[in-house]
Amino acid sequence: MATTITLKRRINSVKSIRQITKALQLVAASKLKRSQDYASLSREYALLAEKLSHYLASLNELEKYTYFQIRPIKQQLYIIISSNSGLAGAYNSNLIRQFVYQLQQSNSNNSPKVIAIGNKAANYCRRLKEIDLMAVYNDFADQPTANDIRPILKTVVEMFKELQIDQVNLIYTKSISNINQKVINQVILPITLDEDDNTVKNLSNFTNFEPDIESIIDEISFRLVEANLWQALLDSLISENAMRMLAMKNATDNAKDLIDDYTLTLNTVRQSKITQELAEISGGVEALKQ
Amino acid sequence: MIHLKLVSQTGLKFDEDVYEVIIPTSDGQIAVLNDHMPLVTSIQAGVLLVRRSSKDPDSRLEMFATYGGVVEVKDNQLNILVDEADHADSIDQAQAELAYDKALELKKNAQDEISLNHAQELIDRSQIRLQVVNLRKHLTKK
Repeated sequence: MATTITLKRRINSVKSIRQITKALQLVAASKLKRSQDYASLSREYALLAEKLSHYLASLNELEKYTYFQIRPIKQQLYIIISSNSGLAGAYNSNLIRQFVYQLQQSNSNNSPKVIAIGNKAANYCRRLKEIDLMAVYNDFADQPTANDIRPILKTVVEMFKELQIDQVNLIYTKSISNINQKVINQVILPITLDEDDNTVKNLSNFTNFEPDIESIIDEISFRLVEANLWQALLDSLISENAMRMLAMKNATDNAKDLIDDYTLTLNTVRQSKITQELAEISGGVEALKQ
Repeated sequence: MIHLKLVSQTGLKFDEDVYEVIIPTSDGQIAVLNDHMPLVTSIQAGVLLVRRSSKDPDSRLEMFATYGGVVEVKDNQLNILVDEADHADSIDQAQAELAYDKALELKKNAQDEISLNHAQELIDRSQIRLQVVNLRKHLTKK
């Protein structure tokens, strides 16, 4: 049985751990609120981009434009949105599990290209030999701006147009609620549109496109990809903060349980010591009497 | 009247019924008024002007610096999707000039193509911001 002194030491160390996790929990909670507010700002943009895509859906022969061409997949590109720091529960391992699953599913012979956002995904990909890690972005702020993702967007779209890559998958975490986050694998290029929508039929027949239809398709398609990527980034931020908050809450609760356990053991040890001493004293007194 | 909705990635910038909107498109400036034909066009970096009522003088125009996007006109509804729209009132001249100088410096020191592109983008942006500031000065003077 442990001595009282080591038990006391253990209780103290767990207490300071609890302080740290509690602080991290509070930080994550306030960041979560902030990221949720920030994401709600860009909802309008995503809605409008989606609405503009109806013009495209109503066009004939959309397949002749590069953005919509479904080609046999010879070269694939993955964009993985992870976090820079750990202590966020299963946030990063869920992402990586999904990524590995996708890799196993693909039957292309070329090594896939990867753009990693966040250190965690980057570190994982660096260890895999068969992956071509193109770029790592790990300096996004808590509230990224549209300018931050532009270089990624430009590179990806350009490569897709020049036929260097045939499909772009985005792997990120979607926040369904504060306690439910889901890893999503979304194909952002080529673009697929909902064509069943009847309200959009003939929309393009009555509309003028200036300067010409090609450049408008180009412009709208670019915005669509941008809106998707942006939304995914914001969703990932929310998820990361929500998962970190939950993980830290659990850690704080566990620390409390540990402290209770140790305190109970400490008291038992102390009590048995006292009992033993008393027994010794009364034993001594008995011996003296005789 | 036509309803203008100006949206950027950081939120809704303008959402009101207005008389006239002057847009810098890739084919040159166009003015959109009531009952404009359905149109989809692309916007270029430049100055976007909004006149709330037909009697408003030029000095009361709302001014935005925009950096490229898409315009949709349909059923007296004007939707503009832009990278970013800065209202003239939110632009500080001294700050804009400083940013411009900084961007020029960046371009001078740019080592590779990516940072060169980045610097050029910054230069273009601050140029438009300065353009807006000057235009506002010019219009309010009269």
